[in-house]
Order: sequence, then structure tokens, then C-alpha cells
Amino acid sequence: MPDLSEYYQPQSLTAALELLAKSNGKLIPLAGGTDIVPAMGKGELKANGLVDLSKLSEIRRISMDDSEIKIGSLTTFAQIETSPLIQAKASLLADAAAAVGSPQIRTTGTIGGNIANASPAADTVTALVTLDAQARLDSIKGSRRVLVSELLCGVGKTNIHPQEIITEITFKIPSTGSKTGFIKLGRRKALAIARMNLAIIVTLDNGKISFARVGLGAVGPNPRRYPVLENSLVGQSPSESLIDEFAIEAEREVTRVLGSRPSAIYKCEAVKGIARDLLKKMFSDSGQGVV
Amino acid sequence: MKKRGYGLANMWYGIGNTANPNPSGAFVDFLDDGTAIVLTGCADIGQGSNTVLAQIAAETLGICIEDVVIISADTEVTPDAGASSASRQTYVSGNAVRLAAEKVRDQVIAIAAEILNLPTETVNLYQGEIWNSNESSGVSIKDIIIKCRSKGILTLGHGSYNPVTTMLDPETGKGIPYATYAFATQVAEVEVDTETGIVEVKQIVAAHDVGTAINPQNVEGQIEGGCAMGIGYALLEEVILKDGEIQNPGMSTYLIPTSLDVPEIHTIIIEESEISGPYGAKGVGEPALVPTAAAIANAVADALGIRIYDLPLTPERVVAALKSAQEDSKKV
Ligand SMILES: Cc1cc2nc3c(=O)[nH]c(=O)nc-3n(C[C@H](O)[C@H](O)[C@H](O)COP(=O)(O)OP(=O)(O)OC[C@H]3O[C@@H](n4cnc5c(N)ncnc54)[C@H](O)[C@@H]3O)c2cc1C
Repeated sequence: MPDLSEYYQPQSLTAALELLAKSNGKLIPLAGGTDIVPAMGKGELKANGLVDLSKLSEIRRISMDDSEIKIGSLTTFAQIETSPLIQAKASLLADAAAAVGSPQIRTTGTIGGNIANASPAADTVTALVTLDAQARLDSIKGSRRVLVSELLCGVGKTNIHPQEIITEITFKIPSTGSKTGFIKLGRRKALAIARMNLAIIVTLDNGKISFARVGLGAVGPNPRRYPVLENSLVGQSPSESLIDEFAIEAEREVTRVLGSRPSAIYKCEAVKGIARDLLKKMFSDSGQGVV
Repeated sequence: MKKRGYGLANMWYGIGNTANPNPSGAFVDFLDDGTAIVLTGCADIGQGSNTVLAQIAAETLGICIEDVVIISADTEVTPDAGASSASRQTYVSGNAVRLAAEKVRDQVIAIAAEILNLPTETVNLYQGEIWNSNESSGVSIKDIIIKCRSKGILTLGHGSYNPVTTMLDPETGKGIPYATYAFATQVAEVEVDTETGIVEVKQIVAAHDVGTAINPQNVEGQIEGGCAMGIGYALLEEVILKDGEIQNPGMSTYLIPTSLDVPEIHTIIIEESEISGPYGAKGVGEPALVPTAAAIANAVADALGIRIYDLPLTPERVVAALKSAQEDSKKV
């Protein structure tokens, strides 16, 4: 075990921000600890101490105002997975949260931690970038909003300043009638790191797709949107042949991104399978995933 | 594309250690209050041997299972019963407990016959009472044990059992390695995604000849557990070595199935009584695992029309095999 000499459990956000500001980067925020604790066990944690955010109940809630959903960064996967609001307005995120780890991990792990940990395979992050979600970052100097996709800058890397905390994640609710979906490819049905994950939003106007968002995780260093794939859907009508074309386009994109990496051979082929499964589900007449 | 396939595998498997003595011992003490204590070295590692051995003792002594206390796997007080391995405990330790309990029973019957003035051949113990042929005498076993005590007789018994085997001929390998065998057939239904390479086991039918199923629910549990482990063997479990070092030494990297990966398992228990077993029982522990991976691999071959010879059937292997089959067919 590393020797962490300091541990704080502030009772307010201001107190937490003050601690981080004073510490000169030596303290790091602790949310659910599902990444931090295993890292501590392996001696990989680079910090002198922890600022435990768990008492900050003001950033552990889900709300909606007008056309926007706000999720406090400390909200757990279980809360998101079971939230009627998220299920109704952004089921891709509820599905992504439900795909994380196991019940134990989902009751502890948080969405803020999922972003800050910056894993290429982070499940909710794929859904968030697809939603063009923004993160609100607070420090004693003030706050700023950044697209989640711009906050991430490599495997395990973010643009979060050491004195900052992600406090909230916001996104515009996809327009009424849109369909959203998320699928994860793992080695087994639970407790598996995503080999790949895929999130899609489509809006239909008179039988034609007028708007599309496609996010892929575990292909590049961070989950991100793939505009080429989005464009391949826009203007088309849902059909078997569109699913085929999209699958082939996805294979092409993944091939382009992965190049000659060892994982490429498998992932290029596999992306077609998950693309087919997800689009088939989304294009079916079931009310599932409808905003 | 999703492809369905069905695969079947059969097995037979010896019960007990191979061509080696592997005896079990047991002590049984019928107490003044009509309950019994069984001492056995048999370790219940979750498979339910304590329950099964209590059932065997209760059946032999004519009392309820609730009135049997099992003290097991305590080297300070229990006699050796070998390892909980080789699918042997119900068969071998079960026999030891049966033999020990029979000795106690025979003492009680002898005294009961004498006191009640009945021929020993027709006296038996059943439902806590002394029976004469098919009729209860109305006298409780407890009363007879108390009579034994008043005569200064303790009702103790010990038993041991060693499966009858022979050494194997070093030249030919011939001999009798096991006293009895379990048999099984399993059928797996799978769905394979030809692009993701994911093999999903949809259901398994597992028919096992276990001799008499002393505890059918335990048998079912063993079969289901074996199938789950077999799914891991077929699809997930792999030790990855690099320069002699294991790369996946933890449960987060050496994957086994989760409960969500285990489908409905339809167990069929075939009760072909084994004459040498306790009340006809054999064993089921390892046999439950033996055919599963083969059935799944056969089902995958049936689904894809190609055969993969390396386990586990990982998504990567499945995709690679499909690709190379495709290339081969192009060459022709
Ligand atoms: C068994 C197991 C299974 C898992 N399965 C999955 C899975 O299927 N999918 C998946 O995506 N992840 C999975 N994870 C990883 C992990 O659960 C997630 O990344 C989770 O979101 C981390 O959140 P946390 O609250 O536990 O973060 P913590 O461990 O507390 O923190 C993680 C990092 O984020 C920083 N941090 C946390 N909150 C904030 C904040 N508000 N502002 C700034 N920085 C912050 C911390 O300083 C730390 O660097 C798994 C982990 C385990 C142990």
C-alpha cells in the first residue's frame, strides 16, 4: 500500500476546492474509489493524499431544466441506470451506466470518475461524447464548461487542472422522437472491460434520418464521435441495407484509426457485429430508446 | 450474422483415485436421546457432503436427518476420509458411514429383538421406532438405547471402505482402475456472432448417471456448477504466459463466467443403481464438467461449419478461424 499521509472529507464544495487549491496538486479528488482503490493496491497512485468528495450531496443528483439534463459528477452508475428521467430522455446513457462492471461497482462508481479516469473504454463516456455533453469544472477561481470530448486528451489524460473538480455534466435532450442506443462488446456479460462500445442517436423526419450522432469507445485513446459514420446515416431511411452500409463504413473507420495495431484485425470485424445489433434494435418498431 | 448450432458430448469417468487405494473411515455414535453423531474426515467444501453423509446415517439408523450431527474434516477427532476429490466422497465416505451406521444398527436390533422377543431377521429401525417386518412395535429406538445403557452397552460403530481396484499392468496399462464409473451426455445450444466472434451458450441439457441421487438438489447443483465451469473452459479461461511469467494472474484478468453468462441448464438425473455404492450412489463432482466444453465446441463447429481446435474459443479465435476459412475457400 502506498503511504498516503493525508485524507480529508470536506462537508462543502467550497471547502473541497480550497483544499485542492492549497495542496499544489499533491491531493487528488476521491469519488467512488473504484479506480483509485485498485490503483492504490498496485502502488500506482501518484498523490500524497485524498480529498474525499462523498459528502458533497449537492453534486450527487440528476435534474432537468428546459431542454437540458444536469447530472452531478458524484452521481453513481446505479442512480443513472435507474433514473426514470435518463431512461426516458437519454436511454443510451442509462444503458451505458447499466453496462458498467457489476452491481457493486455501479453503486459506488461515479460518472465524474469515469470521465476523469480517461480510460479508452469508459462506458458512460462514449454515451456522453455522443450526446455532446459538457462538463462543468469548478475551482476557487471560478468555473468553466468544456465539452467532455475536449476534456479528454489521451489514455488516462485530461485537461482537468489539479485544483479543479468536475461538478456537473450537462447535455441537451435529443429532440423528441429521436431514438438512442448503446451497446458494449465485452469478453463476458458482466464485469468486463469494453473491447469496444458504441452509442448512436438518430432523429427521424418523415421517415428519413435528419440528425445522427455516433460515438465509439475503445478504438482511439478516448471515446469520441465519428462524423464520417454520422454522415453515412443522415439523409437515409432506416432499412436492412442501411444497416449493412453502416456496418461496412464502421469497419472502414475502425481500420483507418487502428492501422496496423494488433487489435485491429479483430476490432475491424467486430465493430460490424455491434453496429448491426444496435441499429437493428434501434430501427425496430419497439418503443425502446425513443425520446 | 448470428448462427445457431447444437453440439453433443458424452463421457465416462471413474469414481475414486485411479488404481490406488483410497479408503475412507467413519465413526458413528448412537446417543442416549436417539440422535447420532457421525465423525468423518470428509471435507465439505461446499458440495454438500455433510448433508449426504447425514442422510446416509439417518437412513441406516432409521432416524430423521435432523437427529444426525456430522463432525467432519477435523484432524483432531475425525478418522481419515481421503480427499474431497476424484468425485469420491459420496461413494467412498458414504460407504464408510453406511458401514459404521450398520454396525450400530445391528447392535440396537440385537438388543431390541432380545427385549421384544422377536427374531432379529425381521427387526428393523424406521422412523425412530423398532419395526417388526412391516409393522411398528410402538417401542422407540430411544427406549432401546436407554435399555442398552442400563446393561452397560454403548452403541458405537466404525466403518471403512476402500474401492476395489487393481494396479495397472505397467506394460499394457490393463487392470481395474476404478470400482465404478459415472456416465453423462450433454447437449449445448449456442449462438455465434460471425463478426464479433462472441459465442453465447443458449442452453445446456445435461443428463448424468449418478447412481442413486441421494440428494437430487445437490446433484443438480453439482451439474449446474460443472456446466458453468465448462463454459469457462470452453470460452474464457486461459493462462497467458510471456517469458515464463503469467500475464493474467488475477480474477480481473483471468476471466471465468459470471452468473449472467450461465444459461438455463436442464439437468436430467439418471438413477442407475450402483450395487457397490451406498444406497446405490456413485459420484457426480468432476463428471459434471467433463463433457461441457466438448459439447460447446461441437455446437460452435455445427454453427459455423468449421472446427476450431484450440480452447478457449475466444472471440478473436472465432473471427480469425472464420477469416482463414474464407480465404481458403477463395483459393479453391
Ligand atoms: C471491478 C471493476 C469493474 C469496472 N468495470 C468498468 C466498466 O465496465 N466500465 C467502465 O467504464 N469502468 C469500469 N470500471 C472503472 C471505474 O469503475 C470507473 O471508471 C468509475 O467511473 C470511476 O469512478 P469513481 O467514482 O470510482 O472514481 P475514483 O476511483 O474515485 O476516481 C477516479 C479518478 O477520477 C478522479 N476524479 C473522480 N471524481 C472526480 C471529479 N468529480 N473531478 C475531478 N476528478 C475526479 C480521481 O481523482 C481519480 O483520478 C471498473 C472498475 C472496477 C474496479
